[in-house]
Amino acid sequence: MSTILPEQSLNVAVIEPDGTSSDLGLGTLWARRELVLMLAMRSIRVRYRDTSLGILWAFAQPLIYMIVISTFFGLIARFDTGPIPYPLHLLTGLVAFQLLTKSIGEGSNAITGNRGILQMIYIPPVVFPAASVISSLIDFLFPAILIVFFLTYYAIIPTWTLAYLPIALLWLAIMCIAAQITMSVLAVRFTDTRVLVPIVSQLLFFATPIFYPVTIIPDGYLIAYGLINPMAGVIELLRWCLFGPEQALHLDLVAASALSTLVITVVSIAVFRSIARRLHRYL
Amino acid sequence: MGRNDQQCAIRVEDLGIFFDSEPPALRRAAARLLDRGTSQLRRLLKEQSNGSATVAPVSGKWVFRHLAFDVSKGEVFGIIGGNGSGKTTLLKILSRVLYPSEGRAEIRGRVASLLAVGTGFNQEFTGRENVYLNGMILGLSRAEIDRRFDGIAEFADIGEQLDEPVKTYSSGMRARLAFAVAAQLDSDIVMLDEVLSVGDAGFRQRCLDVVRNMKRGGRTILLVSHNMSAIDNFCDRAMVIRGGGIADLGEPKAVIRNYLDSFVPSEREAVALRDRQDRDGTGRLLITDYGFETASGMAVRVPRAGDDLTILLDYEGADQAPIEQVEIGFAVTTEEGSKLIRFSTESLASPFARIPPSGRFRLHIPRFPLAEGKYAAGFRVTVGGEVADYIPDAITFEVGRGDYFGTGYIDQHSPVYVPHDWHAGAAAVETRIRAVAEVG
Repeated sequence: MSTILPEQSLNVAVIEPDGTSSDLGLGTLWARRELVLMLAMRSIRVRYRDTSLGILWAFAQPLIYMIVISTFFGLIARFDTGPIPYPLHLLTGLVAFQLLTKSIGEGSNAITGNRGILQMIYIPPVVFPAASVISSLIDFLFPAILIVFFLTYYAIIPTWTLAYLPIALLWLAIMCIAAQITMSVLAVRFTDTRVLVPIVSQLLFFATPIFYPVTIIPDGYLIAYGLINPMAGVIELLRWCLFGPEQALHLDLVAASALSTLVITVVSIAVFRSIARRLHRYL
Repeated sequence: MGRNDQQCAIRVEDLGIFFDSEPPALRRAAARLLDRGTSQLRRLLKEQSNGSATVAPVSGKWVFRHLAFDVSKGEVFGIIGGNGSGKTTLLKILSRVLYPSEGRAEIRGRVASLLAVGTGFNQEFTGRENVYLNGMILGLSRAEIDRRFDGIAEFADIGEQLDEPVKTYSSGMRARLAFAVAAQLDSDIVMLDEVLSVGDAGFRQRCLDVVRNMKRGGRTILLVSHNMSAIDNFCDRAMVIRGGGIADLGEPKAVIRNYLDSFVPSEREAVALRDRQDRDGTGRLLITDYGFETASGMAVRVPRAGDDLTILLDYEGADQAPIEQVEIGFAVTTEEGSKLIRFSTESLASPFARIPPSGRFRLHIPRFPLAEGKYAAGFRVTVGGEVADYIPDAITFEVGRGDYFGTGYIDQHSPVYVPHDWHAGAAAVETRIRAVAEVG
């Protein structure tokens, strides 16, 4: 018995006060990838399983908004969207924005909704927002098909700008991740977060160029606008990618939003790490 | 690292946890701001501060403090305690769901904790899908679950319904499925919290078999249970957590005994038998005290079914003369007063011809027959045919759960137990039973 087995000495876990969870990162996510995917599938299937229209609901929401808003603004205020048909302009904004609001909403539920599990079994909390990100991104694919449909309907043929689409999509994904990880821990730390979510989402709707074109913002304010709302830059870039060079691209706005996104992402990661470390206190 | 360290699976040192009941974070921040504001204001008003700075009091409570114990490799360690004593909290700390406020713990080996059977089950998923989800939550990979799936399905014994949503399952089926997954985890240390109290008797028996196998396989097991016979049967040592600390730790039988005893409110605090006024009789002899004793001579306050028990009734005579022609009866009723059993010298036709002026009656019951519960008892003593002392509801006492038949199965539908046996066979035996019934 005098030999020390290496695996035994490796296996010692020390539990101490203010023990901080060290598994917050990508390594943990990779190790638990099967669980993350399973949880993501769970939320998608639960969302549509018992509805009679099933997956059609994923198309319904942006479509209904598109019809209502384009009818309304078509009647009272005609925004100048250049060569792009207004409904299509609206739809791209709606679909991108829906990803953000869903991320905010589902992010705030990602950990709080799984309290029961976290209070009983040790699981790195990061798997829940990660699963939620995946399910939101998959959910995003359906309305994206809607955009393709309307592009065809309006006979808009993509140009070379489409090559930049992956950048716009990646950017959207980063926004989604930042929103989810921040909201997931904030909702645990501050119960008030839940009440704020719908309010913030509503405000963001007006602060984002969804139903109005960026051109209505005075030139002098574009950079400030892009800094305050990074979604403005993403949507601007997305439209440019889809509709081609005829859709003017305000590079200063996009750059400001990119900078803002970078800051938000760094802050999100910091917020997540700082709260998730002591998450057990707030559960 | 010494050899001793290597044989220790869990080492807990000075462990404590504090639960604070703080107001929500934002309100606290606001209160702090307000506090700072008012103290500034006070300073401005040159109000004398009496030196004690206004530190926001931390409200909350210590669940337990200074816990220290070791669990050896391969040991089965039972944890007992009332509700809210912190047993589950301790397991949560050891399985890293909660962090302690002070002290430390060392865990050697992979831990599987079953704090709540079936945590994370999804109602909409089928049993099969839930096996995968639950297994992954518990840390298994898909391939590992694939390998174990047949074993899990067999243990859970759910049959065709395995492919139906879990919401259609009965709670027993759900428990079986969850325990089936957990039973397949291979870990060095297993923490079980009240798993042995779900499901029906048959399922509990199978759970016990699993625990037995785990024990045989040399795994270290931490078992939290209210089921004293499980603790008694499986554990090498048991620990009682009470009042925020370790109240007792040691050999399970003694620990359980003391634990159960501690629940009986001290009768001596109430009116002592000696001082009771609600008694009848001449007073030639008075019962002054009572107690229970096991075969080994150990005094107990909570007897259990199956115990070799002696009930002690102390008496004092009115004078120093020996007392002659004494008969005594001791009757046990339910708490509500329904008659259960009476033990008397009359029914045995063995009166005491002559007893000392003061002493003790000893009623020996080789196998105590009462099931777990609360009971009342009274006595009646006659001297020379005349009632000397009579209190119908003299005492109340509690009986702990005991394994009367020594089979491990405790029939809770039977208020009393009597020795018996069963036979099955040809009609000859039935005839005998009928004959006995007719005679009776």
